[in-house]
Amino acid sequence: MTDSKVLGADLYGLTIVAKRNFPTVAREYGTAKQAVLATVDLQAAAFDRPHHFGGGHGVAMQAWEQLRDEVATLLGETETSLDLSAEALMMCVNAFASADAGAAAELNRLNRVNGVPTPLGSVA
Amino acid sequence: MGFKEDLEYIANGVKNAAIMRTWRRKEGDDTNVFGATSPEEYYSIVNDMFRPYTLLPDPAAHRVMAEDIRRAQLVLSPGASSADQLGATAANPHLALIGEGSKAYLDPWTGRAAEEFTARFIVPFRDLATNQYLMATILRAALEAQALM
Repeated sequence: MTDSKVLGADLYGLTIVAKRNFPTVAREYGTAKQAVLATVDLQAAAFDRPHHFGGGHGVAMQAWEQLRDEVATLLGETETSLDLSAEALMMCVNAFASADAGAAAELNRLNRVNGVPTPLGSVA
Repeated sequence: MGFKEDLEYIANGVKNAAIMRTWRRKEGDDTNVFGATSPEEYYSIVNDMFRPYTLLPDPAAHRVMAEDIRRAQLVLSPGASSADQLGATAANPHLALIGEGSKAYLDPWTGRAAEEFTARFIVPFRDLATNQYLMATILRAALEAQALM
């Protein structure tokens, strides 16, 4: 195999990481974040306190809500980081491919034969 | 029967027991301890005493929320570890796509950018995911404790 062909195959490997692996995990993080945020709808009713016991939502809700929002933010940040890293990897792939016509041809061939990688479905 | 109905049932039971006892005591006794009210009206206060507790949130709401958090745990689960005691979930195989699942593809990519990428992103990812799983576990444990209360 020529050097260009080898480089093209390596670039296809990076494409798998950028278009399948990272986006799959990013989506998982999106799912986890949505699941955590789904608790917003019920939280007021769940922590409600009858006026006989002081009214409002009780002391536990504020602390819980704060932690919940923090977790959701962290999950969202991880999702974004994964998406941005995937984008950066694709920029590398494109930069290498534009500098080597033979590698670009091999990359295109692999994308055609094996298919352009796509994210896997969530487990949840 | 739901939580509220359970409490109403208990309140009615207490009230009826008090009324029955009063009637039994009143047999052969003309003393009117209730004034103008009947024992039924007098003991209706029992229902009022229980009412605030029937207004407490239904623990089922917490369980629905805990189930939402459990879905997040399924996604973030690092699998067999001490954390299993807290969530009892199988590992999400997709998490290995960052790490072992990408190693073979990333290995040919060398140079400073590649090294930094691996050191700053790929290597710490597993620990990061485990910490996030533990945070979700804490959220769920707090909800389950609240539901029990």
